[in-house]
Amino acid sequence: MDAMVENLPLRAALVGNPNCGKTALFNQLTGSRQKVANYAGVTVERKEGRLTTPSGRAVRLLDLPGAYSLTATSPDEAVTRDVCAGRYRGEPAPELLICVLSATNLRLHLRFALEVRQLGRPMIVVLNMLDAARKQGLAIDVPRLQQELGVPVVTAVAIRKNGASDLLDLLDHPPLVGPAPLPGNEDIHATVRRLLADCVTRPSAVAEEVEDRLDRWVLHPVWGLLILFALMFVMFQAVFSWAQPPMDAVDALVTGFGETVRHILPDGVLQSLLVDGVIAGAGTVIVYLPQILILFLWILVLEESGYLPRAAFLLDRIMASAGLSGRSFIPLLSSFACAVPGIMATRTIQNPRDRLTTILIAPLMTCSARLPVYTLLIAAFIPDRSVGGLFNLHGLVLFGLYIAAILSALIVAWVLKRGGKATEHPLLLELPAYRLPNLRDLGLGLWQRAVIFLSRVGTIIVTVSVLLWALSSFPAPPTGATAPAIDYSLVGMIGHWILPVFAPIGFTWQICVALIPGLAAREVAVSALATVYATGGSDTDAAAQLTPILSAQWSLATALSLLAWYVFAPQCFSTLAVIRRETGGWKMVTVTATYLFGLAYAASFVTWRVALALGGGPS
Amino acid sequence: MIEAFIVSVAVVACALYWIGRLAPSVTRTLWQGAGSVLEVVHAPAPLRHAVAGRITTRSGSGCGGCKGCGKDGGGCH
Repeated sequence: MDAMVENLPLRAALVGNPNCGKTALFNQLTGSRQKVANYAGVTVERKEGRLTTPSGRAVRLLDLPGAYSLTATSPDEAVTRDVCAGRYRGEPAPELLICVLSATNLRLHLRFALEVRQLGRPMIVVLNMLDAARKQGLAIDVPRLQQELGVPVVTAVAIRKNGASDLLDLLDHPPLVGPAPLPGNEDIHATVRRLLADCVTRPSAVAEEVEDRLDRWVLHPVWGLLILFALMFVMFQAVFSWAQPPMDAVDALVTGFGETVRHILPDGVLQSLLVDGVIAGAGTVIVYLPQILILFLWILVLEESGYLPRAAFLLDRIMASAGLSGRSFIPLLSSFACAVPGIMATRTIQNPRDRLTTILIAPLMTCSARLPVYTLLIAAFIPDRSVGGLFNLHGLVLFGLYIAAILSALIVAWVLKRGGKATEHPLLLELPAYRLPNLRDLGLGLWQRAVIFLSRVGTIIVTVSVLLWALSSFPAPPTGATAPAIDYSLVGMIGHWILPVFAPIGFTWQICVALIPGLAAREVAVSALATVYATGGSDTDAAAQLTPILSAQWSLATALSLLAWYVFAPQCFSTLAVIRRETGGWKMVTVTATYLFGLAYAASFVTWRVALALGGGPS
Repeated sequence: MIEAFIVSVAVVACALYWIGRLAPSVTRTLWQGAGSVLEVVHAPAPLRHAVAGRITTRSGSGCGGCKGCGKDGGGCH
């Protein structure tokens, strides 16, 4: 029986304040690659991993969302509270709690450790970020702290290779019983003060002064906003200017590959499937990989440096004018990458009404899947010239589209919050220390992004391209037909059938066709257009030709109308699915889809009409 | 003839992929049918296990971009 128990994996859970490095430690111990960043609230649900200690003991490790207290105030904190107390559905209470503290912020983190200690469960304390604490001039008497707390205390630098070896050694022989209650009737705050006085010495405060000086600029109500605005502006300029050479290289590769396949294979259905379907469809989207990576490079640098929570703090007043708190900033910012994690990150918002509003406006944030659509249309219809000899016009238009989405989101939030009772939610935000981004982490983050993008191209886009190719190639035109073959195909029929709905906003039947598979994911519309034009045109090299084809066949008014559509339309099944899960029903999904499609149609209609009036119609 | 066969297989595979994403219960039924057929014809165990794995696979609700989507929680990156 004892042998059986010995063979069962030890159930341990990582707990601690937000941004103390739990997920970095989890990744270090289990070899996982969960997302880490230098701000609070990155982990919003429990993650599970496995590890083996040096002596061969198996450990099942849970990474729990950060919490400031075991008295939960938000859904993510409730997960931590329930798991620690053994009340989480389907999850037995952990046999060992590993409480992670940031050595740079012991005043706050020790308070949580003492709360966890009061649970009376076996626990280990890990002093993480010891390197950063030393840089700040902090000296921590670890043996004394261990003696005072009455639980094993080990040190770690979770972001460094082998930085958690002491913890691994300790997991070989973990404590089996909980700590004895602390003597006396001292309250937690007094205990923390005593522990700090006894165990921590602070001989120098040089690093803090540098941070304070930086914060004086970055958090300044005027300069801070200007810095934020400049950072965002440069980001969108970079997306266009830096990405052009690698995009040209990928484009040349795709075109060359298409040519090679056409020469190798004889004329026939297989050649048409590969060249007009797969290569035209997937190749057109894959070209946008460099732009997406540059966008994420900026976001990752801002995340790692510790700037993002400061931006949230700066924007609190603007968010408040729309009825939101700065706490909505991180979920909304995550939605610039993808609305799915953004909507999940709303679990850190305590107020249910604020949370729901943030969920409803998150799909308005310009996710990276919109980037291929935007850049395709901008490249086709906006002249590539500089403004004032300094700014790229393409970048300016892209920046304008992002700003339009942000303003729309704020207006929608204001409307949604108008009817309710006004409640005061002061923003309490922990500002992490500034950190130079780690090149390895940046590389890993970009690699993960590239894998995510390419896996979507390899699955969603390739399969849609193949299906669209089939639908646009069959049935074949009847003998003696004079119109283009695609007009007789299923795609042609569907496109012409839907056209009356979208004709008032200036869409062509090809756009109507692209919008249907584009419901799966926004970037699919680009590959769908490429496939439709490749199978429908005499020149089969649509992967390389889509931009000139669009600028020749569409009017400026049509392009602007489609851009306006994509600012609002919820063309993403995954986003709607995650809204259903986070709100627990279809009601909010229906509300979101209805109001966003309504806004999209209205915006496209106005854009189309205004553009026609200004002379942007078909020539 | 071979070309037409390859193209048909590719199109059917892509259609099945999308049915699996949009209506997982339909594909589960298809896999259950395939599993029954394999049992009857005494197909090799690895093949039967692979099909059984398909029947029990749950669909996630993430964007399909990362491995986390297979989990109950939906991922996520």
